[in-house]
Amino acid sequence: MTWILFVSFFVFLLMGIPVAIAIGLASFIVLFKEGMPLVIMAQRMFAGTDSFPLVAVPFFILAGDLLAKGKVSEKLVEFADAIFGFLKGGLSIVAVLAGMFFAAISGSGAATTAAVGTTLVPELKKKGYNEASSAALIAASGTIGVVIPPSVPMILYAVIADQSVSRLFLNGFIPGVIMGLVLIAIAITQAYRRNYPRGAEFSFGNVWNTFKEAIWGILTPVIILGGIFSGYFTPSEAAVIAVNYSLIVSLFIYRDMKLKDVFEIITRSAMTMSVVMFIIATSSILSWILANWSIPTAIASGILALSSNPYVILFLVAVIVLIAGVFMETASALIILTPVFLPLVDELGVNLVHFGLVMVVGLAIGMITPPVAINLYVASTITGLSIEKITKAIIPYLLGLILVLLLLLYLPLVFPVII
Amino acid sequence: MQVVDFLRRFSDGLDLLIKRIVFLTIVGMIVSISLQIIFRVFFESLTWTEELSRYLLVWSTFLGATMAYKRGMHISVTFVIDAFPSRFKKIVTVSSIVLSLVFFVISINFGIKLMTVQIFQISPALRLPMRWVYVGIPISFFIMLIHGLTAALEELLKNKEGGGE
Repeated sequence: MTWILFVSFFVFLLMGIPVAIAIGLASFIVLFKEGMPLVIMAQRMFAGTDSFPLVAVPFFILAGDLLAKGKVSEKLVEFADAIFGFLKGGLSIVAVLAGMFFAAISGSGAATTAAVGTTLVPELKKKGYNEASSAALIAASGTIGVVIPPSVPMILYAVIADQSVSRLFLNGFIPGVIMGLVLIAIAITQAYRRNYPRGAEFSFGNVWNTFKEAIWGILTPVIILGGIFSGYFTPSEAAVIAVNYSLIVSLFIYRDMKLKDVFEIITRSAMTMSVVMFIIATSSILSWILANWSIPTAIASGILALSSNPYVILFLVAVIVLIAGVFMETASALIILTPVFLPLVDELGVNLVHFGLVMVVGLAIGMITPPVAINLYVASTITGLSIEKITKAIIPYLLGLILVLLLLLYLPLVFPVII
Repeated sequence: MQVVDFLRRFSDGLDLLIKRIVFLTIVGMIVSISLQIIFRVFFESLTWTEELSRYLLVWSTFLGATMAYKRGMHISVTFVIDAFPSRFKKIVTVSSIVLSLVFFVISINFGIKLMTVQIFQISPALRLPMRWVYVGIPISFFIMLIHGLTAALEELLKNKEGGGE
């Protein structure tokens, strides 16, 4: 039965049937063959989406889309440039920092790549930075978008694994910052090797002026994350506050948007979110099947019979997650793999918040590994460079991020730092 | 082809309508949760806002999925079939749409069944008959059926033209 489920799923998937529908069809075949009441399908699709924590998904996507469209990312980039632009290769540092900052507003990697890329690419070109390398750096910084909170994949994981969204968010900071620092370190090495120019001389006046301009953007993460971590708002409420705030900023303060644009942006992000939520819906039929026939438990005991060393098994899991990230999009891979791995890591005594971070960082890396690599596609669209060119340039950043994943995998096992 | 023409217009018209409804569901969630926050902070907590936004999420998920389906936005693995020769690729594409249509028909059928099974169920806070919440699922799959049928016929016609040249 397990074989029918997985084989039919992969056949449907490779035929080009959308992931959500492929999951639904494979689940249908199993339920039909086992003579289960098929109304379960509709029931599970409803139950899978009828969830208040998931309400945060559309709104963190929407808030990011609203701010990416307007002047906020431009002002943030100018502010970061005023602080670090004077260094050699300073614009690379600005690219990563802007990515990290935007990550604290948006919950998706593609939005982060788009926001930073659209503003910075012309500037990088003008200053004579290597084009492929800059595009790769922006795509790589985009992965931080789902690691620094808020993060759509973290919400999905929290709902599937029954963990607290806030705790995942809180623990996402340090890995996200380390990812940024590693990328900056690699970028600076390249800046010295390629002899990149320095930007304008550092001046406090300039920093202050750009800070004043960027203050509305800088306040966004303060409001979102401050609200969640103080326990004053639930993540879903904070997401809606972020949307209200971005609407006010773009309609009345920067005035870079008209009401008509708002309609377009809202309907477009509704489509983006329903792509993810539709997978959630049909995969809750799948997870019902998995649970009903104890398939993950069987997989867990099969693997544990081979080895019960948590270091070895976590390594294997990380490798599978990375490979899944090469061929699958982040949310779908997360939704499918989480219920399969949970009993295994739980049995090993691994903290489930820690495991969530491993999943999210591992799949975030998948955003820059082709053929399925959303950030590379966004960067390629913005710069007009081919995927092949950017892929070659991304290798050093990719290795750096994999190093961070390994640290994240093992450090919390040695030092229990998960809050 | 008259049938295809009609289907195409029907599919486009439905999409235009759904786009507005989806906009309203999202705005509805924003208003409902904003009210929830305002009332909790300044007055007394409202009991119905959370339930309403959950149901609006269900509706916007499935209705939004119809829009994403029409625009080919749903995540799928394309690099395998892209490697096939074009004639074979067309056969696989059409059969994958047909298989999707099968899933839509199944979901319409059992979505309606869910409504009739739970005919007397009423939501706890809003006192809303649950069949009005569930009905969003079969409606959305019906719309996807129309979009998918249109896409399949268009793909087939393209196939014929390609063969005739």
